[in-house]
Amino acid sequence: MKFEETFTIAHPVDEAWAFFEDANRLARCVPGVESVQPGEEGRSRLRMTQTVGYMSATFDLRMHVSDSRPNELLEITSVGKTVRGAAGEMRSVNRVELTDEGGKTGVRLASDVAVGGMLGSVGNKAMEAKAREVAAAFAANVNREVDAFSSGGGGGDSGQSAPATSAPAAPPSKPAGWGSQIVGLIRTAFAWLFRRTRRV
Amino acid sequence: MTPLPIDIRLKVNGEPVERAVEPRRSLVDFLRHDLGLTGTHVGCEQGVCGMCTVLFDGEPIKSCIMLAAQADGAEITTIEALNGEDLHPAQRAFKEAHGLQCGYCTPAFVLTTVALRERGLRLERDELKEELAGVLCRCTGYQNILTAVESYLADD
Amino acid sequence: MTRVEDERLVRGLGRYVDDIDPPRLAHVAFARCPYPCARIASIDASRARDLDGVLEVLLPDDVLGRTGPISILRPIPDAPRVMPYALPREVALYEGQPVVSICATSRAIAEDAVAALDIDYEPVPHVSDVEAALEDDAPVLHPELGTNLLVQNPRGEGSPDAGFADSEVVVDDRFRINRVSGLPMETRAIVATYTPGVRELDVVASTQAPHLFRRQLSDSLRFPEADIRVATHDCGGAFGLKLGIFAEDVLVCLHALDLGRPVKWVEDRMEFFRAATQARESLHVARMGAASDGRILAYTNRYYVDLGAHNSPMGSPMLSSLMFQGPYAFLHGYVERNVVLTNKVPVGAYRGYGQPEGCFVRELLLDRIARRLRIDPLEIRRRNFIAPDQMPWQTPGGAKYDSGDYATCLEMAAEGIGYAAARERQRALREEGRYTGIGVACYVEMTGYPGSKFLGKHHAEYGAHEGVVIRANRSGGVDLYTGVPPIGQSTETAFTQVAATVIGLDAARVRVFAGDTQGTPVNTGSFASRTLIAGSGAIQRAGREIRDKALRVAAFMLEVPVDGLELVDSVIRVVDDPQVSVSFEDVAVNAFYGHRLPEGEAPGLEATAYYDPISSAFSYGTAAALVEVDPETGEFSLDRFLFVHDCGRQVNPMLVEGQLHGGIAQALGAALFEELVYDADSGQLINGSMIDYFMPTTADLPNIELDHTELHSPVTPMGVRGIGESGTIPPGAAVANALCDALAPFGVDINRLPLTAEYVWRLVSQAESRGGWSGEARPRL
Repeated sequence: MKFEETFTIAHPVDEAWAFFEDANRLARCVPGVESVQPGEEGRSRLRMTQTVGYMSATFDLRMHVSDSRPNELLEITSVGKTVRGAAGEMRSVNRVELTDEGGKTGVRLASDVAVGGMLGSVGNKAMEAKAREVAAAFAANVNREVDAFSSGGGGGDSGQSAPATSAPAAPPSKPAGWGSQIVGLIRTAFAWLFRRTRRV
Repeated sequence: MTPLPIDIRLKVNGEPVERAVEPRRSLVDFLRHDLGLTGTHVGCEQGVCGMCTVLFDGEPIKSCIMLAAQADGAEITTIEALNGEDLHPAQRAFKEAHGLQCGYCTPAFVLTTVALRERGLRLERDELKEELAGVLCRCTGYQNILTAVESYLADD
Repeated sequence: MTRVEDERLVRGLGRYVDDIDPPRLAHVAFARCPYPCARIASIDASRARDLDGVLEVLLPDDVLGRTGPISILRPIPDAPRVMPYALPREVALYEGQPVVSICATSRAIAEDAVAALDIDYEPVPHVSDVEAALEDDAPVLHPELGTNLLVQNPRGEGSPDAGFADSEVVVDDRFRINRVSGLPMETRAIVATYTPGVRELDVVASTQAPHLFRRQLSDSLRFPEADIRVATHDCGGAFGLKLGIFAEDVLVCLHALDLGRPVKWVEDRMEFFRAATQARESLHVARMGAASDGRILAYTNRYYVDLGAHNSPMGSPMLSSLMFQGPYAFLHGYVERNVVLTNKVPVGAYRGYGQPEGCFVRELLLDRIARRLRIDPLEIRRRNFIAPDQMPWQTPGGAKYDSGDYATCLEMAAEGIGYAAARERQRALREEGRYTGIGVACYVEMTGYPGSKFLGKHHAEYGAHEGVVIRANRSGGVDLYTGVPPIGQSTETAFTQVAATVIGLDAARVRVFAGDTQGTPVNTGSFASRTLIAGSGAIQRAGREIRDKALRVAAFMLEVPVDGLELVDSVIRVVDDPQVSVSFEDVAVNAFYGHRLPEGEAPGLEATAYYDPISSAFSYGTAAALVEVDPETGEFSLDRFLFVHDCGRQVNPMLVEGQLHGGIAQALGAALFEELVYDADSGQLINGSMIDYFMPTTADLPNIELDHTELHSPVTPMGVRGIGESGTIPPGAAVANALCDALAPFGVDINRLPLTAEYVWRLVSQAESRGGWSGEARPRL
């Protein structure tokens, strides 16, 4: 399944790149990512939990940078499978393209995600809806984190979680407000309650 | 790292049984492989097809979605309880009506029928169809199964 | 006669594969590809191997060098043989394809080990339907073929174009037939034991054809066939799915050979939906033209079978071509089978083997013509039937009908369903805004094969014959050995009856030993509605031999001429002087000892015989349905269903009815409720579980009414025809025709399955927006 998300960061492109070039830091902006552990040769290990429709799953993913051009492009490939919840496999290739817009940076995220196994049986429509939701929240998180990063408080990068909300995010130009955070938490709670787990 | 076994004591077909079972052991696997009572079958392990039907304190239940540990203290009846030199009347009814072909669902239907009779209800065919809808059959198209059940329920 | 099988089955004493629990039993689980198509970039099995209790892990490299491909028992004519290996070399071509096989001391540990595998799958572009698969830029599943069109088989006679040109009305449409599962209650299962040194691979499998299974295992394992034994003791339903070996069978046997201990695999239901043979999916582009009196002048059908990723052992549903004519006497016909590869589970044989699909398309088009020409659907069929005195009839599809009286079945169906009264009622109810409909569908069914030579010409890996060994025992009866396994179709009972009748014994004295390659003659198996035809022929021959010898020996024992003797109810006596008699038991005991035998007569009392049919026999009939539809919601009820058929002589009417009930239930399931749904974008199976795949329960089916005629077939030993598959063929068409009939005021035409309420509702909405009502009673909504 392929989809795109475009948004703008209110910072010049080299500041944006300074944040982006650390793939681990970027990964932590994805809602649902619980931990990022850097490993050898630029390969990191991620734990991510997502709920799609009535199914919930925690993924164990291996991530690496598959392409990189400073100030222009970062491509991250993640592969892995579920370790809890619905059985499934995932492979995603995420291309992030940056364009210089004067004092701002245009960001285009192009994702190609394949989800297989039991988890895939929710169907593409549900999957896509979820993907867009995650991408939008990602954009909002990135904006907030780049702000914080550029004003000197860059986030550490060993094992720290992102604001792990799977809330349906507000549109990218506005930071997520209290209301949608609470709605998001309630939704997550419901999704967790009704998740279908694999019989062991 | 295997979890510690759980001690269970129950009655199966009137005989007391005491075993230590793994927590995750399903009742149907326990009956079939630990006790060797292979008359109860497995069809889906999702609680839908009914092949695994046994009587739990007289009630038909799906033993594939029940853990053996949950049967502690219960009286379980499997098809083997009905077996003697002669056929049990319910079994005979199925044979005479040609209510079985491959036989895989037959123990489940026979037990369900016996439990139905115990309830002493008078049922119309449509109601009977609802009562029996918990066990699937792919061979017979159900027609002769209904005939068998009706004849057994009518039989005094 | 009630069934011999029942004594053990009602007691739960059937021996299905999973009931077998030998000591030191090991279990197998498979890693299966989770994507519709993926390159297997790497497999790391180290964590899996380290788990306690894991005995062996087989990766593609371990298997490809030491096994042969899985052969196709019934190849599609002229098609390249796309035969899979047990594990894929580099690319897995469907969701569910086994990729790694793990054997462990318990199934749970094997599954844990599967979860501990690190397999790097690279999903690659896939195709999930025949149209996408045939586009120019479609990803090609098998690069060596260069296309996803495996083969095209055209067949026809006359000139349909001329026929269409002369037609008063021509109708055409694209019909989509749903993908379904045979869904036996017992999934696939196998236990294999290898005894090192003794060189004996002992297999118990849930299969329809143990002798074919054995041959295929021998080829794939590169292990001498003579050292393999395959037995099926009881099988919880098969319906065509369990014909031939699968990757899993090869892998289980490899584990058995490597480990020297019993190895079992019982398919779980979730695997089943993603890996067991699926059925029927096809797109039919069909066209029918008729004269003003409704006589069909031409009929063409170009159909596309959605085969899945490779051949199943039975190729593809073949009989949509052979039987496309049905019972109608048109001379210009053309049928073209296109077999298309897609990234889905392979499609193979399922009860009907292409006939349900073909019947659906033909019967619906015929009813459309009837509606357009305003001819009653019964009448249009009468005008088109091949008459009994025109038999035998050679069809454009290639079949040669032996005999048949189609009109009588139609009349009986009309009578039975109360056709005239139903039409009256329909008229009256339409005034009230209620929509009822009556639908009929007629079929002809090929049963059995027209001889082994026919199959040889088609490169089938089997013959058409059956062989039996019948051996007298010392308890006054005979033991009959047949390779045909019990799959629910009551072979043991039917064979008992035939043997008892032919020899002259009490049926209670006949014992049938079925389904074990050890001790039974090499034979074919239980499919294609063939076992009674071929089996009865073999039993007749062997039975007569035994009878004749028994009479000769008895004559010698009684010191009477053999001509005056008869064998009835297990006693041989002089016809004119019944006091002079000897029991069959005494004759048999004498023959075993050889003490008092005529000069030149060897001891023993047994016979082996084979029978090769000379022709297929063609069953036929009519199905009729009454429905009521609510056009506002699309919901409808199937109020009555009647099936009138002819299967030749009925050896055991009770068994015939049972087969019909079962086939009809499957047909109604496939027509109304069942469908395997693949997501259009991701190509994944959406509803692969018992909760989401809707198989009918007792509460979902109407009462099934049956009636029959009994026209003995002139081409089979006892005048029998097959009946195993008949029930599956016309019901979907009858119900669809009933729906179209009910909704005729809206001008609705049906062209797909299943017939869900939503689909019916859509048809009505679309018809309304087209303004398509016929000008009869205006629909009131």
